[in-house]
Amino acid sequence: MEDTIKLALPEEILLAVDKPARYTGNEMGCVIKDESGIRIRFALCFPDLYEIGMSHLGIQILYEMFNRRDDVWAQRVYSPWTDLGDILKEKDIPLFCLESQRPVKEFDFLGITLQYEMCYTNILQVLELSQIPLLASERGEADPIVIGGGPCTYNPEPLADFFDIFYIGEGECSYDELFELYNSLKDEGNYSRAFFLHEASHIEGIYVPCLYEVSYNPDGTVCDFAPRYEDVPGTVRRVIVKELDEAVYPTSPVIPYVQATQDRIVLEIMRGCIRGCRFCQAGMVYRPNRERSLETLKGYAKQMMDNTGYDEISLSSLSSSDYSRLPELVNFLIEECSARNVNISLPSLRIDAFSLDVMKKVQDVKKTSLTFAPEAGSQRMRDVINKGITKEDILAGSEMAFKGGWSKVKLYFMLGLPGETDEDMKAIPELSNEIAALYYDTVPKEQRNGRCQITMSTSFFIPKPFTPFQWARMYPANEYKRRAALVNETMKEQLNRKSLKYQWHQTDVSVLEGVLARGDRRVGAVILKAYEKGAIFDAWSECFDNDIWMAAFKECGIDPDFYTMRERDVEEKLPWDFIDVGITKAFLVREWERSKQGIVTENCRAKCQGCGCAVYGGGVCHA
Amino acid sequence: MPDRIRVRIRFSKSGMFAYVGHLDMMRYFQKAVRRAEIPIAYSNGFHPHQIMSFALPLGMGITSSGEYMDIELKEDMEPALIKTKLDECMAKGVGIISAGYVAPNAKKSMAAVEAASYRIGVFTKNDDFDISLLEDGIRRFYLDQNEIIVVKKTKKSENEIDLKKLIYELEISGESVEMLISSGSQNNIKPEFVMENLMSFMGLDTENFRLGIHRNDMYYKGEDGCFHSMSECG
Repeated sequence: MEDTIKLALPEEILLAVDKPARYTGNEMGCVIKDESGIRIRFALCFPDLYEIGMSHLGIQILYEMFNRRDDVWAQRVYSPWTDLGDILKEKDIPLFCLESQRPVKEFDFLGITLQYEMCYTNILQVLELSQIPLLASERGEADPIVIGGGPCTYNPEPLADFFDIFYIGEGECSYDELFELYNSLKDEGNYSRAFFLHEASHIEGIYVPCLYEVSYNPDGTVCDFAPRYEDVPGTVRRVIVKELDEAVYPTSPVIPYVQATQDRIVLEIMRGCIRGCRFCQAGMVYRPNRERSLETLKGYAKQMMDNTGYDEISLSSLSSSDYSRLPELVNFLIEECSARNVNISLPSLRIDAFSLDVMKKVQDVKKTSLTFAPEAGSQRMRDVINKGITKEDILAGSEMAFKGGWSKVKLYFMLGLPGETDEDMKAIPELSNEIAALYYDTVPKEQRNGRCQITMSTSFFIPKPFTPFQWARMYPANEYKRRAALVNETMKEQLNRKSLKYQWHQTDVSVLEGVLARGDRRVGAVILKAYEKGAIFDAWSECFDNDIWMAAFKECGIDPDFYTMRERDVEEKLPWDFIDVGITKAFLVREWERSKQGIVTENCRAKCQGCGCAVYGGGVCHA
Repeated sequence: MPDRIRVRIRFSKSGMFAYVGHLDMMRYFQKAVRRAEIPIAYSNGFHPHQIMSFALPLGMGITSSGEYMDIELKEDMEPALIKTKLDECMAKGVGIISAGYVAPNAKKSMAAVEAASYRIGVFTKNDDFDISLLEDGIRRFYLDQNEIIVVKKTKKSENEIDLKKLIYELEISGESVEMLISSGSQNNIKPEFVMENLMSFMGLDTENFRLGIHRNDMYYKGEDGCFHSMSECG
């Protein structure tokens, strides 16, 4: 083993770029191995800035899991910021992994996590800077096998041209089998890229896009999607961990020097969600809801505080209030953390007496704001989206909060939901006004510290695959602008307008995200064209340039509206139909119909709705 | 025992740590102190923070064997034990050199620093620079001149200063330039600033050279009027 690893970048480059420690590795907890025993070198990539990527739990889990194997060395690589990106290109320096500082192109695998659609051009930057051909079809025997994983693989088709493999499901399940296949083909001496990919397609959760052919109808919709070979499965089934307590957890994670966006311990308490909000992809594709046991979590929390020295711990899940042992867990953490001067962060809690009591203990009520996510302003609309929260819940929660000393409330809503009327939009500021009025009714003058502050924030609804809204249409950017303006104008008419604040998201980027989310294979050409024209870091508002993308659509002869502006028929073959996520199409259709009638569906714990995920045999379905 | 127990820790930075900035180093040590279970004192308030302060930030790309951090303890722990415990928690590239109690009425290290010493290697692209060429330059630039008037640019203004008064020692030692210069909250000058002025005085184009800078130590001025290593703890 080398005593000191030689940095990939010379001093003059490191001193010329912002935050050079993004690129120098050697963090606490990073794994350095002796090259001689390594058979598989695996580059784990989060295609965004180091600070974002280092905040991601999934990569830390895979890093821990892979590096426990003696024959695998997993290393990390992130998108270089544009300053270094330009230098690497100009000086022809290949992108490298942090641990060994060796070029990515020397690795056996490059695994890229696909967390959001707006990072797609960054993937092409990582490939180009790594000097790996962008198109999978142009890669040779010496190039790494490029694998995509994460939420965007639930419609991988727009990226199909750029990846050799998509891994559909939770990372803990099928990698060992994939590695065994790789090793055994190498041992037998009959390894070739094509043969490996073909054989890999037999492993559960593994989708090899080049082994499938797509044909289209005259109207542009998918006609047929079929494997090119008889032995290649027609559907790819999502893989999941049945028993979370038995899964690997990174209790000694890599701790960055450059401050990560999530600069704290992350304790993942459960996966999946019992709620069934109809817009939420995570709530559908991560079913069934599975919890870690209280004892396991207590152990992890202690170990991670000992191992990392972080001054904050945060619970992670889709809806922490639904964790069945939450009071015990939180009380344990309060006790353990106060002894160590560690702060506790409790996101995604429903506002009720318990959570307010807890939050009062862990945060300064004067400085923090309380967050509600009603998602829609009117009760009608909340029933449409199956958000199981009523106006009474929101007002009662607010009243308790105001009595408890809070005076700042943040409210999250979506605009552009299916069937949304002007009345529904106006209900957003009207609800906020009622909350403000409640403050002045609840808190006597002498106890107030100025006005209350009710902040409404709206994002534009983007239909996602494998949700009951996957057939819904979107609207043009100027219609979104009109809706945001209507909310803004209505806010100004409210009695308590001076206590209200309104923020809304960019409109162009939402429409584009909609195309990438529900696009088919033909959209890949547009991504490539946009990248060639300079699109990069599209998730960063200071970098995003919609004109580039519109020009790319035009040059490729692809109409973005085809993917976003029409309500799709439930009979239409969708680009992602070949994936079996557990949830059945019949369930999604039923939910889509019920949403149109404004009928609420009960949560998984109250009553099984027969979504199809019970076949996985774990979690809430079999509690 | 005094009411406030303060310990001064001397540490080194090498390798890739030259690229870890000042604020990131502070966060690094906050975590390390927790991992090492040092009984550090915390401030009051809703989110208490560790009582910890650092002397003079080190510039990007510079290594050091004389960095200092003062911590306050809530209960006593032998400095020797602190050194051992903390050193076990270090990443490769940071070493704990020593730890000692700070005298009760001594200034904080940030306020106490008045000078710093550096060792500087001078390199060309082809690594063919003969350091002894600087010997004559140093004599003419530093030893022979009674004052060295140069322009110092800050973010707000440009000032003429006399560099002669701020350079306490400047010489060639082995393969490097060694210097002791004024540093701290007043009259702070940087080693690269001294080198730039020396080299342009000699008619050398600084663009053609790369400096490898290492901070040896930082000093406070004792009652005897002499510079003492910060590790003597006042």
